[in-house]
Amino acid sequence: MATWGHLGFQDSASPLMEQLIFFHDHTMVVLILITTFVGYMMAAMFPNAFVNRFLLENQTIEVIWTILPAIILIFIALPSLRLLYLLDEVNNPSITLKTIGHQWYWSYEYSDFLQVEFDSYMTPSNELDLSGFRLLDVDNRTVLPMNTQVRMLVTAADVIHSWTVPALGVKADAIPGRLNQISFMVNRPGLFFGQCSEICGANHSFMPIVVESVSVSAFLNWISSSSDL
Amino acid sequence: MSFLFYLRSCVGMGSRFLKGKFMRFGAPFLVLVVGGSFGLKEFSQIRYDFRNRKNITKEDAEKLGIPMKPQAEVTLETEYKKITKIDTSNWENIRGPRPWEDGNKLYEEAVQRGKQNTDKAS
Repeated sequence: MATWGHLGFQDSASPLMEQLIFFHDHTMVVLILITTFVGYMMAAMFPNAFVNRFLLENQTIEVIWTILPAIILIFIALPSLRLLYLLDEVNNPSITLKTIGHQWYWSYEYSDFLQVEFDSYMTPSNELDLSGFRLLDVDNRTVLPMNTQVRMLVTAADVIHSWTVPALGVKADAIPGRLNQISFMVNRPGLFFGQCSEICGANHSFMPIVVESVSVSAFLNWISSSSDL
Repeated sequence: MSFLFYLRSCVGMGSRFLKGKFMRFGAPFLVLVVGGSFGLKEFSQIRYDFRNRKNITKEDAEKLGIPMKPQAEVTLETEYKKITKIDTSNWENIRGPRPWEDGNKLYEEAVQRGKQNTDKAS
């Protein structure tokens, strides 16, 4: 989850997010190289008192500094396209989870099972225990099984909201009258937090999302206990 | 007779072709590229096999006594039909509280409803 002074991405909990972080790191290396190179060139010119009287129309350098940036761009474009197609891959989800955004809470429905539906409200700060996360903890967490392809269907009941969990690299707008589909897989157990990402009224900052990733057997036990209620 | 000469020259052409640049460099290269992609499929297939395996099948759930709907019953289209029934037009615009304002009734009612639902759930 995000903590104070957090600079980079949250640790990934999904293979796609992992790839996104790798691509970001790769592109950042290229950018830092270019910036350092240009910065050094500029800094080196300050103490230089020489003047080049013949500085006109050097075709060789012109060709070099046209072709070299093109090559650098190819080095960025190839991983980018690979990732783009990776994100759009068609897969076979094992379970389907539908979430409906309301003002100001999320309601979840496990469509594959019978009668597993619940609302997820933020735990108010005055009811939070000392170990709780302010503005992030909820009363009912969304439990999902590990290493299982999940199909997420997102919609809203009143205004536009947006369902996101940064650690999983997913975000989808919840638009009333429309069903958006995203697919992801959680590859480690744990708690992953997100917050509503589309302004939806006074309590927009107070409707968080918590995904609790557990083993498949623990998930099935939770389903059976939830549907009994 | 001339037919025999024709055959001989065809055979000559064939053997020259087999020793030519294409057969020595071009064809092996193409076989490597195209055949290699089929061979690499064996390695990359593992990602699809892992991700497309069904962790939670109807049979596993039934063993634990959890009724589960069949795969064909839960699709984008069926879920969409369900959400079209939600009434999205009748919502009240609950105005947020201004700092100088005290007693924004609608906002306080919404907070109370939220609190009640949290208490009900816990």
